[in-house]
Amino acid sequence: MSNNKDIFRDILRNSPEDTPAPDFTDKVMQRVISESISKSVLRKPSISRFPIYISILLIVAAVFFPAFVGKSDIPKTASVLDYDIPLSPVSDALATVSQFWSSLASLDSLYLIIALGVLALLAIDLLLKRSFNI
Amino acid sequence: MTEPDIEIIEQVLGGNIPAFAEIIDRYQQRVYSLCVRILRNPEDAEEAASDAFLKAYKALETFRRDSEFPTWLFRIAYNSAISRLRQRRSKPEAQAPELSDREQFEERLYEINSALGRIADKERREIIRKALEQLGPQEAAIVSLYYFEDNSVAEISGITGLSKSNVKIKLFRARLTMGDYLSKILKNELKYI
Repeated sequence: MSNNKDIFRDILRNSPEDTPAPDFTDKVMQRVISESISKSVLRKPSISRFPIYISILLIVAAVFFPAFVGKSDIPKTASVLDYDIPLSPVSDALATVSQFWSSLASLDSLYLIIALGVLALLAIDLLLKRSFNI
Repeated sequence: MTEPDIEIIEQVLGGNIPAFAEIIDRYQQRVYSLCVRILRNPEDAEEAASDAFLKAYKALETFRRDSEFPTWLFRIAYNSAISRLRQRRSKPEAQAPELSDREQFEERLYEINSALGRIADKERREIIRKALEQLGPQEAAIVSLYYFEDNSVAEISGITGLSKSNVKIKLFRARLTMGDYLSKILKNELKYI
């Protein structure tokens, strides 16, 4: 094949050179730039989702854990000049929330932290994917 | 000194998108040439070449640093031209003439080469162009990659997705077809050899 290749290379040395239009590079670059605007192909940030998830879990635990272990004690009235003034409907709403947390407190707080953490993770995961394509 | 391809690729991936123009400048003639041999139409070839560069840009992240960039790019260009060819009615692969005597064929090739040497440049280029046009799109691509791009049979196999033995067969058939065509065209010149 090598002899054949050489002789054929010799024959084909005179083949006409095909060249695209002079503005070929510009045209392609226009397509490349519009593509890069619509969808980034650049190297993705080195940030990984895993440390973000761990941080979220820790934050959730830090914020909610005290609420689970302690009894909620939101007053239904405010004391002003020794007169008890009812705070409804705000106080009613707070009382409802308080009852909710109290009922949750009867459950194992660890499970609640995990459940809330998972929900937070799902939300953050969606946010990271949609906003930063991480 | 010319910057290696991989450094330009790193720049593009790092956010310097205009650096991709250097890649296009470097390879546009070779990519276009491959496309035009498959499609045989300058407009179609230019669009296929443009598509190939855009696809390469989009897939730049997946380019493996240990592989050859031109081979990777030619694979994209080949697929781009072949899929464009399929969109329009493709010409069937040319039938290679039967030839049992290999030695006779090789001898004929030397005669053809000698006869071509006695023809004016312009006319010679035209004859070679027509000889290349006798090939089917796939054979033309293989000839282009083998003789003009100096790719090995293994590399062509990787680019086209054909087996190595299939590449060899198609290459041999292409030589037969072109040799046969050139013998007919150069009939008068061959008389004097």
